[in-house]
Amino acid sequence: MGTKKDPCTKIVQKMYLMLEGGESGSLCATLRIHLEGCTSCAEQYRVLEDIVSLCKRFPDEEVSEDQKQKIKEKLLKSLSAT
Amino acid sequence: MTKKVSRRKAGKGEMLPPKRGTGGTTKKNTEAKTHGATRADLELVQRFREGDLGAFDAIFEAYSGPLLGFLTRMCGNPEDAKEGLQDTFLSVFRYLEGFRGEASLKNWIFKIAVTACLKKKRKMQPFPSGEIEGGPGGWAGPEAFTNPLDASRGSPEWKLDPETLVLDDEFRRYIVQGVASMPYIYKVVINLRDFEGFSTQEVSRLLRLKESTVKVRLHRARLYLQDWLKRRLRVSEQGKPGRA
Repeated sequence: MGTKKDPCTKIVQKMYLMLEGGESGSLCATLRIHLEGCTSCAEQYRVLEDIVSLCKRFPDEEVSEDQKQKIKEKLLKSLSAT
Repeated sequence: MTKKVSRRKAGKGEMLPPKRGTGGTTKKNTEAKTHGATRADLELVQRFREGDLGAFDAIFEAYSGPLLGFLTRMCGNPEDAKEGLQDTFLSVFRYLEGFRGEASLKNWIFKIAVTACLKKKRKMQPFPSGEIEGGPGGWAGPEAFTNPLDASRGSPEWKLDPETLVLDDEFRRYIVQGVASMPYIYKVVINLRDFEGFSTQEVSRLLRLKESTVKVRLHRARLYLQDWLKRRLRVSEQGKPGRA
């Protein structure tokens, strides 16, 4: 069976299957069973969920009005020239 | 077409930019959307072709924020990102005449942004390249794991939930740095999939990668970002920023 570290590392490598959602295969079932019995992997999974949530909520960059104006002027000039 | 744009002085604001979160062209709402252009996309492009400057404004206003965010996380440098934004829009408006609607306008525009990043990468090699296995130092196993967002980290501001954390300037800076420091093949995937809300299938089409490849790279990028935050926050707590 190997050391404790090996199965957990494999589980972490496959966590994306569950993070992506909609996966219902036997591998996901295996993952779920492992997470129920392994606190460190369960915690790892929760943090990955947080990371994904952070990224999804990340706001767009603000483009200043001055910057917008400069770019628009350059664009219009360039488009007029072609 | 472009002469029309320059000659015709259609008033600004003839058409409002697409509202965020309501159309098929804005961030984080592309899950399960069609891959082709929406009717709104096609109408906007048609108006642009007819020389409507309002359409030019609408496209610029709708995409300048998301594109600048994407480019900042790709370049890690605001100046390069602004330059990339200009280059991207220049290509967008130069080639919009040829937009065939096979992809949504958003996908088409981001494809151009990705190409702009690749050109920059080839020109300047500012991007790290290569593979990552789990994280910057590799996946050290669950025993070595600490939760970067956990209250037990000791720094009160990191006790907050993701929704609150993204409002913190310093935390956002860490994330941008973390993504920008990834090898190109990973950061482009996490940027499009998680930050910009493209589906795995859309990222796969956009980057011409197998979906399985997108998933693996996305997972590694997320692990990398987790590890990056963990290191940064630990350093921050020790009062030695910059020494990750």
